[in-house]
Amino acid sequence: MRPASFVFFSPRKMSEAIDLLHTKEDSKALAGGQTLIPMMKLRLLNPKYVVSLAKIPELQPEISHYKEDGVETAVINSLTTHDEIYMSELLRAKFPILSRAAGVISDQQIRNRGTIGGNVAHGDSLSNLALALLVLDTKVNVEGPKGSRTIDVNDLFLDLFTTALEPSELVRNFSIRYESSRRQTFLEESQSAGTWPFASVAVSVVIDGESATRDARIALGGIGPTPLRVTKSEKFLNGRSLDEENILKASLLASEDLKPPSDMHGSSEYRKNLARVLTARALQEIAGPKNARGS
Amino acid sequence: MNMRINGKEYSSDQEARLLLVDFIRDVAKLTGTHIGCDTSNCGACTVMVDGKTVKSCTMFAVEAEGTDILTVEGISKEGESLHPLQESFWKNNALQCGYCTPGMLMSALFLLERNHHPTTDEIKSGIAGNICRCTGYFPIIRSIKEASEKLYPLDHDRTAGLM
Repeated sequence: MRPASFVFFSPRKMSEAIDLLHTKEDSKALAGGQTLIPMMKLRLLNPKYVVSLAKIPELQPEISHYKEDGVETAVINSLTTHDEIYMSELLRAKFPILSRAAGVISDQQIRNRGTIGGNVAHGDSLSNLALALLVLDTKVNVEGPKGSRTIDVNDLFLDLFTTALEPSELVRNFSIRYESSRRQTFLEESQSAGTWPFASVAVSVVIDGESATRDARIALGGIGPTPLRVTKSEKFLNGRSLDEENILKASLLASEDLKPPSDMHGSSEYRKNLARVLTARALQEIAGPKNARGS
Repeated sequence: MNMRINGKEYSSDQEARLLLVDFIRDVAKLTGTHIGCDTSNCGACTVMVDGKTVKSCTMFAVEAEGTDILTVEGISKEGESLHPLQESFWKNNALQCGYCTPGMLMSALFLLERNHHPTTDEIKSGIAGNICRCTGYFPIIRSIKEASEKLYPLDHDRTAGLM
């Protein structure tokens, strides 16, 4: 299983890469290659031109943060690997959901190579990082032939493996606003370590003084064509406390309208039930030991 | 394409579609690195590129331009016949057919460099990207534990009472 022949470019400039992707018909951008290369080996994709992003200075692995008007923002460059996200002290302290989601992607070798930019731009419904970014205040900064623009992560995922990115647009980085009171967690259920999860969930909420929930966000993976937010359940939680009864109701609301796919690994009913169970467990974890009792 | 494998420079004109594992096996003639599943699952082709484990069947050789690669042939120190990990794999029967062993050793090496004294669970997650169909993994886990104690002896004074 070897890929079909292609012409390889490794531009040193962002503008050059965009120009190549824009002018060469049937070209593909190569980041970590952990999805693209297997697809090319299976000849599901046979691009004539492969444009490596590895040498572009603006995209190099980096996690930084800055403060402006009292608001703290973390910036993760596109080529930052899953392992670098998992190991980052900054992210562990400020956005633990990202470390947790990145740390369980596939296996160590894949995490050493796979990048956040490639992962999110691929638009897989089961992308751990996409789910985590969806429940944070994330802006996706992209650059293309018409210049740069910013996409809210909630407007990024359109359909099965389809994002709002234009074919020759590249993700430059992700900027994520920090909120000190935002509690967050990520859970997934898979057949074994290193395999794709059946379903996954990312939850984040702000809990105000009176233990009332504000701005709850719940994103589910593997249960539809894209990673998706379950707004009905989020709306229900806002203003309510995370007690056992509300968690149960919220998890039912999160899963009741879902029509997940069936395949050899699990039926639609199973995935729907899993979405409910994972949502409940994630909310219990966030509520803390005081309110949580095993599901 | 130019890269250094186990300290030795290799230079060769190759097609862009050549996979790193094929460069290592067919161009550099280092056949210790194996091709197992060829679909990024089994980890038999694991090597280190600039100190990080990767599946060499899931990387183009051209992407390794200018890098330092370590394969199973390069893990023991000069003058030493076996690396402590290899020795403990041998002693503990951590292989039967041996097909997964080169990849397993590379993952174990990466894990121990990062975490000198991993727990059983940490070892399991460290070798999650490597499939062994002979041993049932227990001898492998035992070997990695044993090698960690040999490679990074515990400070007995500091840990006295904890063991």
